[in-house]
Amino acid sequence: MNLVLCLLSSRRFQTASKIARTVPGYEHDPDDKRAHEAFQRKFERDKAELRRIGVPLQSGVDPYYETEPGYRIARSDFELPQIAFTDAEAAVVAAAARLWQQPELQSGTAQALRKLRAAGIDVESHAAVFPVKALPGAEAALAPLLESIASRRAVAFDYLGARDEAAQHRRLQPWGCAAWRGRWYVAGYDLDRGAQRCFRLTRITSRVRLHGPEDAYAIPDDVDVLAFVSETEDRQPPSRARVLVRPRAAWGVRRRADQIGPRRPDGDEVRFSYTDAPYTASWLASFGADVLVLEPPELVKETIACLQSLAEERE
Amino acid sequence: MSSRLARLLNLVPHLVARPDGVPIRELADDFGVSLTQIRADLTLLWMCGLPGYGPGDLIDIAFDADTVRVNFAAGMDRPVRLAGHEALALSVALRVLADTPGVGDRAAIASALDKLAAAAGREDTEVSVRETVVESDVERYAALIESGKAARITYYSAGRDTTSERVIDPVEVVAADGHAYLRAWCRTAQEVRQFRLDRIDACTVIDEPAVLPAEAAERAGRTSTGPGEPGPTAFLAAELPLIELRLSPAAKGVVDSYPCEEVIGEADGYRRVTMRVRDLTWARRFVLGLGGEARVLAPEELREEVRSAAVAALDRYADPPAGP
Repeated sequence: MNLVLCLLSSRRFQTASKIARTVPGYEHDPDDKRAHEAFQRKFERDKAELRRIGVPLQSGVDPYYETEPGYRIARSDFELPQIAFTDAEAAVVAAAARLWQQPELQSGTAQALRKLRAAGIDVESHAAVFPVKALPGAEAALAPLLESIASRRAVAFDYLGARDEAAQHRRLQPWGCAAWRGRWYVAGYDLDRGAQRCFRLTRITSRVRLHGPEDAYAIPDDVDVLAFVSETEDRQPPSRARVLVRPRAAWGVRRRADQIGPRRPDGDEVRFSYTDAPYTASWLASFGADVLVLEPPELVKETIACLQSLAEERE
Repeated sequence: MSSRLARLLNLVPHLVARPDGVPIRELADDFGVSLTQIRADLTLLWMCGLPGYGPGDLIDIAFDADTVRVNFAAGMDRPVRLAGHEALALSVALRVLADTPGVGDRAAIASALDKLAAAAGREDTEVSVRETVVESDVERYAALIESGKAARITYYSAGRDTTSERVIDPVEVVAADGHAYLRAWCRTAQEVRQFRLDRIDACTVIDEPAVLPAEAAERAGRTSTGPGEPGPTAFLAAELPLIELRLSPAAKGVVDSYPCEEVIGEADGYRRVTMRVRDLTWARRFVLGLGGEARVLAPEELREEVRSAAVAALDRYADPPAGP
């Protein structure tokens, strides 16, 4: 606390040795090696905590007075600017703060609300009940990825791609996240592939670990994560399926169909469009013998593969 | 992570913003700490101040009866601006709300986002949200809930592959995993159910108030922030049958979307899960729909049903019908 006040009170950079001389709690004999190392460890810990809280520490050398680097806090960067919410804005901020299920994100929004309350803004007293509740997904990977994006630190995780047999270790400089059709994605520069890649968060099988220094990379100006994600996922044009459904059965397939008929003695032919073949095949397999896939051959093959896997049910 | 330093940095400006003073009990509640802790914090602040640390340099806090006020803040008049991860957690949540129909007013969300970007001293453009729900009629059901009326719906149940008519008392719409669900008391089933909006084939408002039985209202938890239960097994009773599955890593989503009684991690990302299901007919369709990513461990009856259904379907491919 005294460190903050000290650095805030002066426009000049304060060197570590001067801080040690003036700020209570840091006093020690700089010639005593162990005491000095203990001071340095404590000082580094405190600086890290301040950064985590959002205190912008600047470091630099005061050219007129010192040779050793020093630290300062610019008041304009430090203070929460004046801010005021209308009742409607306060209500949505209060709703937003309650959205997350991930503990790290909950604590992030709670800290933000506490700072606002310290500035005299109590959004929670405007909380309202809306008829629609959003549940933005509980992926544990989201919190560390957002932290990585905020601090520009690289991450590492294990990823099971749609076509992978086993999870693979990936290292990424994240550029941004996007939620599209209820699913979360992260896009960025893949350090191993040396190219831009995007990942679906539900397919991350390990913890996401931040590694390396802060501000390790810059996010390109023209990056549009959402466009990249939707292009990657939507790359295949829709295919047309033709399936035979038994009379008065497989209503789910009939509902999805945009064309029913011709009717045959052994059932009705229905047609519909799809993009995700593996997903569609397992869905069609769930109707068992009520559905026979006729076209296209890829979908027939995928569906048979699903059924064979299900038929070999033994341990 | 709520450190003591973070609290101390908020405490002084909190008092500066309330020049009439704050009762100490209220202060402790505001910061979510005990009375003893807040007293210790205030005592510590008393010893903090500007270099020099003489009487005029230290933070001066006055206790008047049980009211706390600050006389000299040593330059700590405002809280610290929002840290990057704090601003991002809040602004991403606002973006989710902005993309979900029926949650507050969109103009207010947009202006709140602008103000937060100014308060954080940065604009978070790295996260975007689109098509939170595929259904386009969310507003219609939001209006139904606001009207407080009951409704008659025609609903397609994917778990049973049948369509049925029910009278429901709507509670709320939940937007989760890309779909919007209407949460309601189902008078037909006598329990709270979730209806995916794109499976509601017809909906007529009935001219009588929506009533929620008291214990159901508690379970529906209108104000609860718990995870959604999009699965048809959302409301469980102990007498429902238990099934045990072995899931491959690709079927991880099952654990996230369905309430499981027990999940045991195995080597290579495989999981053994135990879950309760409404009945084995539902369970058979559920396992078949997992496309071989799940193996039934128990009960034996379900394992045999899944296997014979798959074999019967395969037989049709072995002996394809004549062309049209």
